[in-house]
Amino acid sequence: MNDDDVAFSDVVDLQALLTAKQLSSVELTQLYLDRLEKYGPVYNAVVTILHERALREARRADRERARGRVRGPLHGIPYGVKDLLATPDAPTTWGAVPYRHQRFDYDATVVRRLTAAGAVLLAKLAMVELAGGFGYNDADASFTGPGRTPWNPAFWSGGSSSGSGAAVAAGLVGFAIGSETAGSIVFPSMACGVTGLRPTFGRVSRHGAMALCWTLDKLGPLGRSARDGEIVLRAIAGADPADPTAVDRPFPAPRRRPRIAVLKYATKGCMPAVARNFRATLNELATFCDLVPNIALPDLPYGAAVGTIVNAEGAAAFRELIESGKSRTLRQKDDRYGGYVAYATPAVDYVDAQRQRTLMVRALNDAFGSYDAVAAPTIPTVTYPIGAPFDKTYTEFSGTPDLIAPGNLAGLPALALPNGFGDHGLPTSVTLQGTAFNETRLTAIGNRYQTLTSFHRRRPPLVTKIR
Amino acid sequence: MTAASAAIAATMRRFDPALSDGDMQAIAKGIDANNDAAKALHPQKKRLKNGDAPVVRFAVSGNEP
Repeated sequence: MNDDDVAFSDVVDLQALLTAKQLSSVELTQLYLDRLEKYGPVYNAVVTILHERALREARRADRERARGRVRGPLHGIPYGVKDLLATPDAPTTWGAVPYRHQRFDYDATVVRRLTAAGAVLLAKLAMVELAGGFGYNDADASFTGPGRTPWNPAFWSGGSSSGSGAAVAAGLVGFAIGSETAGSIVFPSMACGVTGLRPTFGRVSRHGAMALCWTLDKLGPLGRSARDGEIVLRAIAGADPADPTAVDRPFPAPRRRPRIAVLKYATKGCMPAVARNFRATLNELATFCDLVPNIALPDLPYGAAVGTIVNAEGAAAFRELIESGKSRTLRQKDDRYGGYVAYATPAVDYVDAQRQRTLMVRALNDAFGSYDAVAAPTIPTVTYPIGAPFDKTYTEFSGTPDLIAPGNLAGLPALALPNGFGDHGLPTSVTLQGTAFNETRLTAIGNRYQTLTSFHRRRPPLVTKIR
Repeated sequence: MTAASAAIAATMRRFDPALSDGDMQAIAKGIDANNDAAKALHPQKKRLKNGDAPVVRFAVSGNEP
């Protein structure tokens, strides 16, 4: 097994190597630190590498293992976090120039729980500035530069958890933590060909995380397999006095033969490769699931609701920044005035969006509540080229029913799985959206799917320079 | 660009006097676009009833005095 084989192993396989004493956590950590130094800047994936903390935590993990203490499946496993999670060792920049030197004197709850699980924090990973809250319209929207997908660095690694997706895809970390308000875990998972798990709203504490939208923000893992997603989720989940929305809920056992709704018109308006790969995924899923075709998404104004809520809550979350006039220092030109647009959101529109949301939750539960999952392509295209405005790209592919806005408004979990490749050698992805607090039913389906396919094990051709 | 959105945009200069006329136009257009999108949320459009409450979550922390 060479260094690349190790670096691209999933958490389960890494833990097996540690258990068999084929390598130590310090050796594994050093391997990833070297790769972060070598490849991180190429893909604009990293803000800060935490050499000292990482090696300290790795030495502790090795010492404990030598004494016979193994805390669990993450013991000694190195990982990275999106740079919106507080840690005392380095700035927490939120991807944005005005916060470039911001410091906190504590670990976010998620980091604290991963430390307690024995994991080793390697790095703070790049992200779209302010998690995209001011309406960015191209990939160059972080002070670290545009996130590049390791599959084709002329294309975007997705947002807003750009570095989390790219670092996992390039084998720079064992797994990563990202956040999602309206697509920021599942989109970069798709763009980078990795497995992303958006937990149910309330499953994971946001204490110590940048707030963009209190009623939508969620934290979750991006990794190299569905089984890794479940392991990380179990480690970070649970009630937290510092975040009143976080709750303790059980993880349900998987069903022997899951029922999956296939979203009606799921491939309408998709790129041909996305549609083709989705149909192939359904064929694989049909070998162990009951698929129910043509289940329609209730016709409700999800996009308007999520946009209005993010604008209103985002303007409140960043009111000080907006009123200071310092949003002019943001990287992406639309972000420089987008805060003012959000600031002007009428209160009645916000309240009506939240009222519509009540009806949406009910309608989505009626439509999908009796299934273990609803399946659709994660987005209708591959990821976007760097340097082109989003709203002028792939305009011929539109009209596809989209699970991202509805699922986030209802706080439902989703698992994004790599399911093939499309134009420009870029990955495509399928999303399985579940019912509330049933993430482990999704990961069970994802794990079974990944035993039948190998897309999650493919490795991108890494480069050390962008031409 | 509507007169109303232009007027609201003009008030943002109190936060950043360096906002250009182009910035003001972009802000006004953004406000108009959001207002157009929000029409889909209007109670008459989607028949919200008076009793349809918004999503809110509030919990008393229960701190000891």
